[in-house]
Amino acid sequence: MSAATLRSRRPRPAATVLLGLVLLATACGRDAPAPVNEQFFAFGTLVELTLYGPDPGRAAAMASDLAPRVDAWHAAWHPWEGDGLARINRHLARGESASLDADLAGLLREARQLAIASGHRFNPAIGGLVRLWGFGLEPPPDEPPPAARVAARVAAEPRLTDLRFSDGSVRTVNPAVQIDLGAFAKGVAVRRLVTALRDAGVAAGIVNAGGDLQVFGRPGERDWRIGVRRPDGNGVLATVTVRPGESVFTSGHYERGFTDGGTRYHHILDPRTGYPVRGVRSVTVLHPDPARADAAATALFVADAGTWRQVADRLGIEFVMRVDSDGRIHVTESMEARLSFPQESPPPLIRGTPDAPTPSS
Amino acid sequence: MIAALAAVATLYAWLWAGGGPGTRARITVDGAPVATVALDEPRRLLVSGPLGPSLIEVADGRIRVVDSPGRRKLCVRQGWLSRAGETAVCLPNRVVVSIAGRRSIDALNY
Repeated sequence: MSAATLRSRRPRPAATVLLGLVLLATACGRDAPAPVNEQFFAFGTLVELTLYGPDPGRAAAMASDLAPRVDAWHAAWHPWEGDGLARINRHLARGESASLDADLAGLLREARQLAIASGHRFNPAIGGLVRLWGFGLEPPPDEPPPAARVAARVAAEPRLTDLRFSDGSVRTVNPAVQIDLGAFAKGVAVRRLVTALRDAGVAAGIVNAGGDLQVFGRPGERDWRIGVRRPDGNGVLATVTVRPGESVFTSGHYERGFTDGGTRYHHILDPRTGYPVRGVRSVTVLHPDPARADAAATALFVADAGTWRQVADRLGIEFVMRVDSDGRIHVTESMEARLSFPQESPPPLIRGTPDAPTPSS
Repeated sequence: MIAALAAVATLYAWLWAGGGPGTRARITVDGAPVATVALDEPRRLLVSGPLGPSLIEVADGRIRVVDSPGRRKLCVRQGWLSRAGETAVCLPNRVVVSIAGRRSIDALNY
């Protein structure tokens, strides 16, 4: 079979995608003129920018400017590679104090506050456990780690409250603490990207980092329509109405994992057991702060069927959709008002409290 | 909990829903457009990404990734795309195939 070979004519990290020209012809009256779409790869995922306002050339320049900044954050926050957070983790493991800059100190304090509010269901101190499972490694793992090693990690009870901050440095009173900001850093990155775009004068748009996103401004006179992926396959489970400044984050069991002996092991670990959380397929959260939404999506995935609503309250999260392992959709009242389902007969929504425990939890 | 900031070389793929039938698809490598193809002109093309060639096929008004370097080949397993906004992302090879046209939603959360 003959095939033409194509190469990128523009070997740079981001480039213009002129979706806008296609949309322009069919845009309805309530929409703004069509957006410009940009995309680049960073944070180990595809980052997509939907921008209303800038012309394609300016949008491309913005993306080219932002991509290396995201790469720099990724490097600074990587838990075990490089000289940022990884260096701090190496010091903490040896019981040593580690210097850190004000930026990272601020993020760790913010993460600690969220961890406390979540009852440590969002627990960035379990970096050692995450690494033991190896979900971030290449090649990915194909079997769970030895049970005794998992149990030892859990018994050590690492928490961000074990950290002690002093002027320009941090230490831990628990040598088991290894910091992994995986349920938080993407939220911070999205927050910073949106801030940068607004500061650059972009009127409205979306920053979508591998499916987790924040919108700003409006696409014309309407609110945003964001599709939430089905946790059990491709396609859209529901469309959620999103207002200016809100972010939408989902933690899903489908994102990463492996199957061993007929058992599926996904990447969202319960800090209390050391094993992947059972009984949940996905949790979707809306909140104006993407970093809080990121942490909350994980915390509410880890929380039990009977307690997630209380945890959401303590985290200040009003909008939650939680799909359990039987495919039942649990929603908060506020979230239900934002949802619409594409199916002809919408699935039953479970609103009441407390929830019945799920069979597998 | 979570994994990882690490750059994981998994393939990621997804489908938009609700768009009408598309007539053209756009292909990008590492964010840069390399081709826009009409879906009514059957052809096969090779796109060079960082890990090697990704083979893409157009037939019967649809487009799919036939093969692409990577461990899980999620973008291959996704199969045919035909509706506006449907997208396949071959993450390790940084190849994105998407159907142009008006989408029913502004973005997909996953």
